[in-house]
Amino acid sequence: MPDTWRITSGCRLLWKSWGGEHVVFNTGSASTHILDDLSAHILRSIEHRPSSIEGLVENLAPDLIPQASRQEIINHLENLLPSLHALALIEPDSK
Amino acid sequence: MKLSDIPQPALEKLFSTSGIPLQIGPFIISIKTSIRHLAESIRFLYHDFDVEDATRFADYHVSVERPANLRRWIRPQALFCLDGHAPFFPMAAHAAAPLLEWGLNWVVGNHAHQYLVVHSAVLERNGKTLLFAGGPGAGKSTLCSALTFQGWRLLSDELALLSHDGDRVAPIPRPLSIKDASIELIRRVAPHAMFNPVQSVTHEGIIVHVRPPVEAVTRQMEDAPAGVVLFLKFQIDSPLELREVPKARAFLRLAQNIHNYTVLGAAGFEAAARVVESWRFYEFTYGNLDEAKRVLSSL
Repeated sequence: MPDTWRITSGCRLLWKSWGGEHVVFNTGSASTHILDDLSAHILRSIEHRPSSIEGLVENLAPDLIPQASRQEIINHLENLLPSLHALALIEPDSK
Repeated sequence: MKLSDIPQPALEKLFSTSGIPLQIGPFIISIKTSIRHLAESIRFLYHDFDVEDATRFADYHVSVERPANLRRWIRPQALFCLDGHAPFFPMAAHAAAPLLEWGLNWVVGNHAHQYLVVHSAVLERNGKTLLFAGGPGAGKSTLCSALTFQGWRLLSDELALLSHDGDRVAPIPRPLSIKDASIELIRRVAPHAMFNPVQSVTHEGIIVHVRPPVEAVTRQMEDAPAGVVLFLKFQIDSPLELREVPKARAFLRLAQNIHNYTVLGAAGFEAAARVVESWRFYEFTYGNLDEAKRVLSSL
């Protein structure tokens, strides 16, 4: 797992949100994805600035996963971030 | 002048020489063919469409001709061209009418980027607009044809031209395309519909085209407002079900049906989002045509 993730180079993300669901358009791949609140929050955080799992957990609003322990959130992000990478939305930050 | 005002011999000569520019929805499309039975089909199906002045700029020049090889005579074929270029393989010449319609779908879907071109059927009545989306076999054309001959204005049987503002749809009321078992069904529910006497056997089944009603053609420059999108699903004898689709999910399903969504890129995304804001979206499952017509008429 890379230390830090960033938005895929050359991509710009466009967002629309309706009723707790979010649609994101990747201008680099011209692909469109639907995300839940948590995934959208994580992707927006990385869009704001490259982040590590630790950094993402620190900045996560408590109401997004009210019942989850810190370790459960880390486990979730360890699955989510490779998925976002597979969709070409994020990539390892090599700096 | 309407296409039907031109006598048959003059019409065939024009079709085979300069081509005939027709006002079809917002486009002027010049159609050229020397295939006689296709010229007759066009005359029948586009009966009420205006013929434009040949000196005016045509948006698209299309032709359907026999290819310049042995297949001109042996098991004859027909080839669709846009501006002299053939985007498809030729088809059997007896299927020239569906080939022209498929070609026109391709032309509009791949070139009319001033619109979001949605694979769907669209109707309007008293300011209420219905847009039917769904894959093959979903029953779009069947339901669209049935409602067209029950007082709804046909905007399109195949392609919805949505404005980038999301709140208008431009008509392109080309002939209705009816397939297989739906042919007899529509003959029964719309006995006064003008069926092309020529049926075509194609890789998609038996296809027959129906002339669009005069009112749809005379009002083809009148846009319709945003209304309701129905994602159709036909299941024989299934109970009727109407379920609202949340906006974000509707966005993805709509985008899958927009021919030029990817080509338009960010502009397409923004335009599709405006459509989602302006329209309401439902999943509509039906198994009985009469019941479906009754419910949609009361929407």
